[in-house]
Amino acid sequence: MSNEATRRPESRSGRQTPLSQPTSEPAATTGIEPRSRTREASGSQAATEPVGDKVSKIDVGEIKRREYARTTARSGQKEVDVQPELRRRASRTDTVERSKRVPRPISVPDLEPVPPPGFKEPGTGNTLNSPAPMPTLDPSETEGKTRAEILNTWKQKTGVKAVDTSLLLRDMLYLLQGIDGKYVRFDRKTKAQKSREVNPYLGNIEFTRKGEGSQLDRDLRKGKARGDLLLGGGVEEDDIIGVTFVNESGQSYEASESLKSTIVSLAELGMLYRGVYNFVRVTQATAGVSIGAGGMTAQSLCFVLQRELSGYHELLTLLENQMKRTESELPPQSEGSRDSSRVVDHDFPAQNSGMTFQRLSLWTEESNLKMRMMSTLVSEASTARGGALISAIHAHTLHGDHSVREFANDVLEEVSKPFFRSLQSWIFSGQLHDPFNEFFIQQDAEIAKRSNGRHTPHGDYGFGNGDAEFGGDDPYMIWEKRYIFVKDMLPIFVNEEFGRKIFITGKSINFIRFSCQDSDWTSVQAQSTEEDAVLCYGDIAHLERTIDAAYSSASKRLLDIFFDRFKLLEHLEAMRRYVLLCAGDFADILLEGLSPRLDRDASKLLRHHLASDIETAIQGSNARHEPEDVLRRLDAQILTFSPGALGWECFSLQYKVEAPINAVLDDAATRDYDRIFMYLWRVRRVAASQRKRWLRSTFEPRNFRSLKGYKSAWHRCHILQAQMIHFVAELQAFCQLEAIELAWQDMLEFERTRQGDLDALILAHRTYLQNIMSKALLINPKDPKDNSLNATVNKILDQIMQFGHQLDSLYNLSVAEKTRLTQKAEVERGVLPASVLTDNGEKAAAQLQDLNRQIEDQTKKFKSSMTNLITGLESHSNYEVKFLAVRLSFNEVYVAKRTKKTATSRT
Amino acid sequence: MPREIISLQAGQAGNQIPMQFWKKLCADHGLSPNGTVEEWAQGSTNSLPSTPLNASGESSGPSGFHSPAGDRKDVFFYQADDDHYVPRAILIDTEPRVINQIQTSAFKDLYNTENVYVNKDGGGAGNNWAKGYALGEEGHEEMMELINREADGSDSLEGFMLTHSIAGGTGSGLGSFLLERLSDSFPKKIIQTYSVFPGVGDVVVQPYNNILAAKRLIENADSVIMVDNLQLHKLVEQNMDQKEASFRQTNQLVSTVMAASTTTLRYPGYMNNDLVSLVSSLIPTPRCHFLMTAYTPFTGDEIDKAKSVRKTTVLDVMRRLLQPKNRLVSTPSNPSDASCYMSILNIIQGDVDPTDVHKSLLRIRERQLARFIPWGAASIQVALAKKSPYSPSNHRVSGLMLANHTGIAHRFSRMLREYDQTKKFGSYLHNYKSEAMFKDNFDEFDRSREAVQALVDEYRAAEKPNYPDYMIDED
Repeated sequence: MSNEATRRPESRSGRQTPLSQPTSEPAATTGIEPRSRTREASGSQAATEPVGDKVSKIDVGEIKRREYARTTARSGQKEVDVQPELRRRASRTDTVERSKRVPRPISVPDLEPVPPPGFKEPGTGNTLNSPAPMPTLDPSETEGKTRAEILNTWKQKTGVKAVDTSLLLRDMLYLLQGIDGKYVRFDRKTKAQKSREVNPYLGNIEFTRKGEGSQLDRDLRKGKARGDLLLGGGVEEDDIIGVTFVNESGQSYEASESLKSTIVSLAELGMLYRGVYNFVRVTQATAGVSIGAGGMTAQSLCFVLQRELSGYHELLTLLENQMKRTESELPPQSEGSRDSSRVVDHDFPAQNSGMTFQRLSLWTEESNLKMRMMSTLVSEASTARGGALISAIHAHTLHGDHSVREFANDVLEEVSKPFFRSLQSWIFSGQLHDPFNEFFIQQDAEIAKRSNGRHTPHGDYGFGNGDAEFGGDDPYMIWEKRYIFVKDMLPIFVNEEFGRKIFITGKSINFIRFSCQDSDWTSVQAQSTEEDAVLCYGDIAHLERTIDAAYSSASKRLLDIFFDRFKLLEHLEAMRRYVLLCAGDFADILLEGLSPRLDRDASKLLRHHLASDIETAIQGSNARHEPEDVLRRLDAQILTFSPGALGWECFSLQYKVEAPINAVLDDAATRDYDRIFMYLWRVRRVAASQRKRWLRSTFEPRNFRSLKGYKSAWHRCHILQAQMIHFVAELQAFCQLEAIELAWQDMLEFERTRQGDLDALILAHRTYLQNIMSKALLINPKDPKDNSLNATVNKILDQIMQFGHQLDSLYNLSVAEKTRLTQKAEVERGVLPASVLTDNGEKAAAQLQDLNRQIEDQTKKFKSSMTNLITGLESHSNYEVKFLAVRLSFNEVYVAKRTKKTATSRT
Repeated sequence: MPREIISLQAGQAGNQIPMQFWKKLCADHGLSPNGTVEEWAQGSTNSLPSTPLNASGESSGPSGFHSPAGDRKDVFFYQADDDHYVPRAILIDTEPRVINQIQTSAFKDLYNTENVYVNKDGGGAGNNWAKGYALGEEGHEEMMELINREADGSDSLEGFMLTHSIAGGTGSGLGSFLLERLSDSFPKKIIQTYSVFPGVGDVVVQPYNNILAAKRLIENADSVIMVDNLQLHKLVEQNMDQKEASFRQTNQLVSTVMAASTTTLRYPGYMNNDLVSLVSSLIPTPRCHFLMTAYTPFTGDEIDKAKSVRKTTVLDVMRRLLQPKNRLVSTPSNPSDASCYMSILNIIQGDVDPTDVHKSLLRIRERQLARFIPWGAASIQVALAKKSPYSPSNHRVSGLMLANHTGIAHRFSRMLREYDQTKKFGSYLHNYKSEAMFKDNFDEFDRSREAVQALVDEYRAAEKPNYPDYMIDED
């Protein structure tokens, strides 16, 4: 240190500081490193460095920034700043010395983020750095004096008093407890500063630890209300940016830089302690009061932290004892006796007692590490909750450092307990026991409110209260939306697939319990499984086994309930028979009964008429043997229609189901059923009208044999009619066999095996409908807009209806012609007067000719539409859909266009 | 509102065949010989398809919506006041022998005794069409009263089913008379007949009877299911371990076909639930309404002493149905023949996977096992029908083919040939002269011949691509 002093003038004489400073002080980065070099540095610096600042502030970790700032400032600074250079030198020597004497401590995990290179020091907040005007010594004052004397003289001249180290040491103990000392106090940011300043570190914290809010935000969130609970009184919870060296009167005093540095690094422990302690206090005080609070996981964390803190408290007690001993060995010091001459000896204030800053550093080292860890957890706890917090902690169990790993494991074991409790209650009894919304399964408050009629933030009462009033609600909503899977809250050690399983397991049990009112099974189940299943973090394999078992038993049970108790398959079967018109006898009678009504304007439809027609159809068909429970569900539905629409366009048959069956037969499914019904209904309507006309055109032409020119017209009509009947018959057979029947087989297969959960059931049913849609309606499920085939079929059906009217015309014309001829004959026989003969049949002949042309036209149109359809079908990707082309053109009368083209090009 | 069908049974064969038919229907629907629902079939109608799956867990079949029975008895039966099921059958004969037989059989209590008409003389029609026709005129009022009463007793009468033979006097003559009356009185009801066409030389005057009856079948019936006696015997002999087939066996065979062809009516499914839908897709033009049938397999379940069962798959069944030897009408099997199918409807009963149908159709098309008309779309339509749960059978799948085949013209050509040969010599014509219709002339013979010839011509024309223009010549 003496050589430092001698060098000083030299340096003052204008040597420029090299720009390599930051690298020369690598240990300063974390603010914790310098602990072992203080011994050497403090004395010399206290002697050599006149601190010009009124209040010197050293932030934890600020040294680094300071260095950056210095270098950046220096490059543009003309005036020579000696002090930093001095300090630099001192620390450099110091580093060398330390490396000789003190074995390097076990590397401390770098919990604090390292600022990325290139960050800029903000313009404020670094008071130490600003160069102060130096008092200068006259040459007369230095003459013939030892350097120490010169130093003392200089110090006196600057007028700054030092504080006794033992006092600082005692203050240090206060600081370690997180409270302000007499001479060293925590420095807090004022509100104004906070709002003004953007701390790059906080920003970086956000940057490096994803999802963590900045300290600033947290503080603002927590608000002032809890301030009184915290260490530091009513001041807003720590936003400690360092320590202030200031005496009772608020004046700064002189202390060596190295001492300050030591204090700063030790104070970090105090600051961390403050944070942890405050967290524990706040969490415990607010437990159960506010939902926004940390919740059970945080409480568990508090428990662990508390345990750790008590260890720390013990340490503090020991230190205090040690300190007392130290003090008792020293003569009591009065304020006045502390003069400048003692300052030199600051380094060794209690040589005999053993309590020094160095030892303090050493003794608190382990605590420091733990505290740091705890602080990290605390800061994680303030942004993450529940499962996410567990995940965050779990991340530390993968740390390279054994001690960190161990600590994290310890903590996790405890912290995960509430999670496993929630998990257990969820997968065994289907109850979401999660008062603080920490679990990775959450209720959708909206839905819960709607179905429960009340909002239950603290407890979960299941899907419903099991009351009858619940009967009319929407279980599919409940099943699909009541509970939400929150991926972020899923602890990392449970993978997502497993999480889903857990999700479904509880959902199933819950559904069984509340929507299916089968609490007997669930309670038995819960008892039988809970006994041997204590889930904990330690035994993941067991956890997985348990969940697998719970999953399959709950899922199976739920499917069993749907199929056995709620007779889902019977309902689907009933829908297939009646809504999908597979009960042809019922459908035919209904169609016949409804036709006159549906032929009229849609606005004239009355539901009760329709309902009575349905009743007639039921009584007239085998449907009458259905159980009452099925029949009462059948109802007419009048869909919305545009003005002028016919009844046909808006009538639909409805099969009403209630909870919990409508978890499967949900709105989307109902819409699909409606759509399929409309289509099949239409095809059936066309078929029915064909039958009616077939009958007439089979019976009647016998009576028209005598009519000249009508035979060929009828014959042509018969031929075209046969084609059309064939088309509709094959189309219907295809809809039934290839579309509905095949899809139904899959559904039956699902029922037989009952593999999977309710989701699988819902999916199976959706697939069933999708298959029918894609085959019967010829709609591409992947591209619902691509319905050209459907359009073609509809066009053909239109043509068939059109042709029906032409047949009617032919019939009417034939009847008229026959009447005319009969009258003519009777006039000729003299039975009737000639006046009854109004025309000579020319008009009829013209009409017949016109009709013949129309029929010919229709034949061509039909053929071309069929060719289009076949072309479309043959190029269809679905093999089964392609088969419709085979059915429709079994003897290859309709040849697909492409083939036709290639055929002609070949010839 | 079931689509009721009234069964009219005329003559010896016309009553003997339905006897087996009703027996079979009773078995199918779980009815005892006196028409009451058997105990083991109780509840099948009242209780419900609560289990769409049968005990073995298999699908109860595509059309098995109304399991376990899912039947509709009221198409062919009505319920008497005491809940007995009574066939909608009117038994008509000119001699009491067969009727007596029925009325002393185990099923004597099944029929409504009021529904029996036997000519008071009881002397029969003597294999004379004209005599049968005259006896029909004689009993006209009485018969029509029975028919009207049955028709009035139906909610929604669909039509009539006449079973008769065209060889003899009663079935042929009286049957013809009935056909004329029915089409007159019930112009909007469908008339289907199961007509037994005779083999060679059963009755000497059968060529006359045939052609006279054929005219009524052409003009007054809407759909004729032809059963060829000759082919029936062949079939029975083929399938049984017996040199000579008994009438009982051939009747069983026909009744099996009748029962099978009405399955879709009795066990409603997605489509083909009524007679019209069944025949409308089979009959493109009104005159070509002569359907031929094939059935497989004939086993001991249906017919006494049948050979053991073969493996039945849908493809096997559909293949066999296309083989001429399984048809109930003999058609030429000459491959150079231009005859072709106008339409085919296969009614497949049993445990059928829809994909099997699909595959079988593809295979048949691939192999070109069936030739179709060149002028329009035709295919093998398949209706899957439920098998009665009460009639056990030891084959998995059985099939009936209803087809409109132009080859049927051959049978009518033969009829014409036989008639021409007999007529050439004018043999036995005096028997006819004694009846009113032929008192003055035999013009009716010529008219009948014309009608049959026209039918043959039309079937021939239907084999050609220009069939749509066929009638232009006639206009």
